[in-house]
Amino acid sequence: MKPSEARKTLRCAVLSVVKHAYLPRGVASHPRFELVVVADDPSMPDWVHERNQLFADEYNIPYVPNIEQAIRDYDVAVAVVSSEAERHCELSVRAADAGLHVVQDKPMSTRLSECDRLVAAVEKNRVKFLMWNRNFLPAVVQARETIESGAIGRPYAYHIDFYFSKDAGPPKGSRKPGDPPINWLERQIEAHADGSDGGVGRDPMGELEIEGVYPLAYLRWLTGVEVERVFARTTAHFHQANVDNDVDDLATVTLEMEHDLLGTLCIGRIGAASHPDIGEIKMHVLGSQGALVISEARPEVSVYYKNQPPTEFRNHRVAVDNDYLLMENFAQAIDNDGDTILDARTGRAICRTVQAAVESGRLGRPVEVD
Amino acid sequence: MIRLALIGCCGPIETYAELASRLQNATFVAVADSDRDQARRGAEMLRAPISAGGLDELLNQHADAFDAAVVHTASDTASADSRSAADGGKHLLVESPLAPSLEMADSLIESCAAANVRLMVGQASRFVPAVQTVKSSLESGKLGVPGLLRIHRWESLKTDPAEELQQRAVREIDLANWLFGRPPTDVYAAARTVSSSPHDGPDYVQIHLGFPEGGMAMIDESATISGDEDYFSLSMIGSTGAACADDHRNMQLLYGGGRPAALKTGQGSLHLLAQLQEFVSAIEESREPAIRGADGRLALQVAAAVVESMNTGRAVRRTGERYEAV
Repeated sequence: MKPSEARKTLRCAVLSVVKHAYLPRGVASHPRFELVVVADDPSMPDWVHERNQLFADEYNIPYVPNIEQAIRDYDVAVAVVSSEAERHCELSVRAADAGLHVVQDKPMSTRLSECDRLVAAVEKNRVKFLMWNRNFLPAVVQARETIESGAIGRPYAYHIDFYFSKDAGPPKGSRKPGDPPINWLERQIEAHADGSDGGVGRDPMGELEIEGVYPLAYLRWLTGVEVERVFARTTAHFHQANVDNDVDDLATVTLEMEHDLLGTLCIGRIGAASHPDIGEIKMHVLGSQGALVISEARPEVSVYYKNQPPTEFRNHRVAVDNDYLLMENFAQAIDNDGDTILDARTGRAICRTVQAAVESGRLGRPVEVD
Repeated sequence: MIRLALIGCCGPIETYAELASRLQNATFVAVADSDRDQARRGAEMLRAPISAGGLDELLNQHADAFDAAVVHTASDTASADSRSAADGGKHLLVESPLAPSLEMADSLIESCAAANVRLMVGQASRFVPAVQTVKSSLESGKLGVPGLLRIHRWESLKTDPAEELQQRAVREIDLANWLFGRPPTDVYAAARTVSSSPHDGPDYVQIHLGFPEGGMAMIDESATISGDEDYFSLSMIGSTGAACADDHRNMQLLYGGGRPAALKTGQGSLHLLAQLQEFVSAIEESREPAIRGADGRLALQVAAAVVESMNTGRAVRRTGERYEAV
């Protein structure tokens, strides 16, 4: 690549931004990436267009309710996909087929067939794909460096706790006789107000499906191996919306991996009362010569004051450079024709692990991960 | 005053000696061990007037001198000792596991019932202050319906990893049963042998339990940590709150050149005193102790299901009073 081509600004089209907008904001945090247009399909409901327009206004860029037109007219090289989960792969495939590199929000999809389409489109069109993740958080980087230094010897077991201490509507058991079940999409639209709408869409999703990619991405990055078999327990323990839509808000997964590695995942949306901050996120790793306990939130600063609202986090994460580092990783993959830290194939493997865990939770027995 | 005899010097005798003066309405009057010298030294530590070369000798020569036995013999003799003590009309505190098999556990429970003596299973983990705090938070309703229990316990390899694995697994299984208040419905387990040791058997196990109403527990036990410091973390998430008893939070830092070291601020030995006191109180008050023979039997039963799951790679489900592979 010519020096003039390396480090050039990459123009980005934001394809739908109906959720909490951390993804396009994260992309914009890197000087190589410029958001130039927001786009979506014209057939989308009004609330989608409204949110897209709001984001476009915030960044002083146009909103075009026609994706293919926006791609043509705005000379974009990158698509930033932050739609409802059920449209993630469809939009990413269209972007890849238009020759765009893609940054996509999690989850990759709830359907493996969609993941397969996306993998095929990315590879056929030789574009780069990055699924958003948290692997560059300082504590996660420290965990990897410590393990790679050999400080704990040969790792043999990885345990990850990933809890979001957030409410998700009325508590379990609150629906009165005769009341209709909670509509998933309506609940998620309401949840946009406090940024808890990671599951926005028509299709209900449990926590394993919504957030499972984050801890499983940690695991993948720390181990470099695939999950072969899972045994899971899943339940709707906290929220009426999850009960009514038969999706989990609490799950435990035993993970059996290549090279005889073992692991466990505990994940849930456990309610705002259950942690002073966003939730407990920890890693425990055992090795032949030692062990490691990592709190993913650190470094953090505690702030307490008179009349502090009970829902305000007491501990604040600081020195978080995850957004920039992810986009730098993406930029380098583009510049050097390399791999991103979480590419389409790895995303597909994580999706399959999640699906296997959901299936195991329903069946009550272990499930092989193909 | 309840007169206690310590049977076997395998347990924390030095700690008992420190705590003995704090016991209310009880005192150690005898120590019995197959090693007569060890029994004598133990009696001196506990200021007990009687030492004997084993339980049989103690029962033959001093049967009227004690009311209750605290059994800390090696596992291969503990069961026989417990039976003998029960048949001799002595109340029993038997260190977990209750017996090497369910059949022997049933036999011991029956013997104690027939002799009308109290049987308490020693599970000192229940009495650790941090664990008691989690339990009381549950019992008060603050945490709501228990949902997810996570336990990490990492210790150094001491003797026989296979035997220790059973003891360790029973200990954590008992905690899970106690905190959920009922038997697990589903069991899945996996294990590994990590250390190169002359013994057979895994030194790492992870246990995945399902409980009624969607409850679940994830336990990992490791015997691969070197040194004398262990690590323990227990967190319980309920429908309306969560509690966490975690060594990670209780670490201090020591800067002595190079990387700082982590020092754990421990919880002392009061859990052992609390356990002994509960045993004494149950005898005095003619009631069931906090940890009954049935609790010890259930922990053994679930541990057997863990071993079956480990060995077969299958989940094991409770059907009636039994566990069967699915």
